Amino acid sequence: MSTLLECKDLTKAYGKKPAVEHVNLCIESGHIIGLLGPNGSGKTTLIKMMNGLLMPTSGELYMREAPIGVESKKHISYLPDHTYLNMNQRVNDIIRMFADFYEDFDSLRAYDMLAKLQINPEDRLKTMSKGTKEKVQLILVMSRRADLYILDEPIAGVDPAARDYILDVILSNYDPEASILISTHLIADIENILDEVIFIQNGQIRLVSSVDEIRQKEGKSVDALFREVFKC
Amino acid sequence: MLGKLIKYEFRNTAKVMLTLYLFTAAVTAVGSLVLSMDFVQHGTGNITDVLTIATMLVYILAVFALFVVTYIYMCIHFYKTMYSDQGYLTHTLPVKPLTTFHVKLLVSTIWILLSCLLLIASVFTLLIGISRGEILAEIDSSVFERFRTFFGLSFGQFLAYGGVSVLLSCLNYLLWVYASMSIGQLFGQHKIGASIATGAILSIISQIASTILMVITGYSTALLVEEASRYSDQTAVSIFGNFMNSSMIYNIIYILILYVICNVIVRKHINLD
Repeated sequence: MSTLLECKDLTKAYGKKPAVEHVNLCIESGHIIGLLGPNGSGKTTLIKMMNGLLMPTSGELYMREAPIGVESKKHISYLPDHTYLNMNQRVNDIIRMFADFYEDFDSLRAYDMLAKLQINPEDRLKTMSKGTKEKVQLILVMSRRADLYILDEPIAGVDPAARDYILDVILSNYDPEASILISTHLIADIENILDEVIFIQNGQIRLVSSVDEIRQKEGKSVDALFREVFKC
Repeated sequence: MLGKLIKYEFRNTAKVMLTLYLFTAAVTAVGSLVLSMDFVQHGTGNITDVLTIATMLVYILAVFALFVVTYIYMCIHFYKTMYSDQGYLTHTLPVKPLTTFHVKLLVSTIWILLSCLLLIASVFTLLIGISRGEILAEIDSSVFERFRTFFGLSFGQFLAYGGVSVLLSCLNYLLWVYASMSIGQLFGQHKIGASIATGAILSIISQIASTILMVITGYSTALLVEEASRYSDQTAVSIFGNFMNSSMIYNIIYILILYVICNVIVRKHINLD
């Protein structure tokens, strides 16, 4: 087990309002970690900084001991919380593009998952439903053999039946040496696949713990603890 | 990676641009055909006049659209793929953000220059149509001599001078918008509004700076017109040469400033909310 990603005193403020405040965090390899927090807690801001889409106001971020940059992007596979692809493109064109840019992209795996979900690779994204677009994005992200998968709300926009399939896709398509960071507030749906959880509130880390530890020490499920910690 | 980026940038913009070029080529062909017809060239009467004016009007609008659409499309494409939803993909590719920026600037510049070449070819085709090919017979060495007498430059020098001027103008207009959008995306809210406001401010600053430069160098439009009328036997270069050179130097400085703004923001201040 080795450290994949490390945040050191990471802060992001918009004007005087901090969105993420003095976050210190280590993500080790071989784990599925839930980044859990209520709306506006700073989950997405933290994730964007990890992917180089937002510059921190202060603090440092390292992926395998190197600052976030070209090298880290080769090893992080990121799923944003919204559609980010060109809607006019066909799925097979996007697959070709991913294969061109990401050395770790496995086109066969992508086509296999598309076939299982009965998605036609010849279709353009703009002709698909919101849920299907999200599935395509997840397939693209999970078809990489990355060291770290960062998934921002991967199950928020799909129906409960599709959620099970998505979780199955996540579980069956990652290397055990890799890690997955999943941000969501649908805790009950993903609780069973998590090894660790990070609770975040008002931009600050409230808790970092393994799921087993929570169950043993607190005698509660993660969902129950979440509801208790973040009770309005 | 650079080659792949260029390939995909061309591929992503080619559909719109090639459609636009096909449209311009079609309008040019139809215009040239109509204006070369016997009854248009020698006929009199309302129908002939209306047809001639309508053809010219459609042609001018098409040429105008060629430039406006090319420029606006390049600007929108830049914003969408750098600072909007598609920016999430652009900035998570394993490529330096500055390389991505350079590729977008390069490809946009190439499309605009191609539009310029298409315009020249289109006007030439229309002239061939109007003159029924006679213009081709008139092109001999004397044309280049007349060129030298009027402009004070050889045809080759004129092309080089014109080419550099067009290239600088193209970079100037593109970087003006890119810098405005780059500054605009730094704002927490109303990013498009902030980009437009920044564009207006940059434009005003540029106008003030160029006016100051004109005062310092002693060139003004009125002075140039006066000089041109006083020395009618002189070539265009001897009258406008210094002014054109100063303007070119000013353009280069302005382009460099805009480039530095883009460079710093793209490298250090990406802010995709």
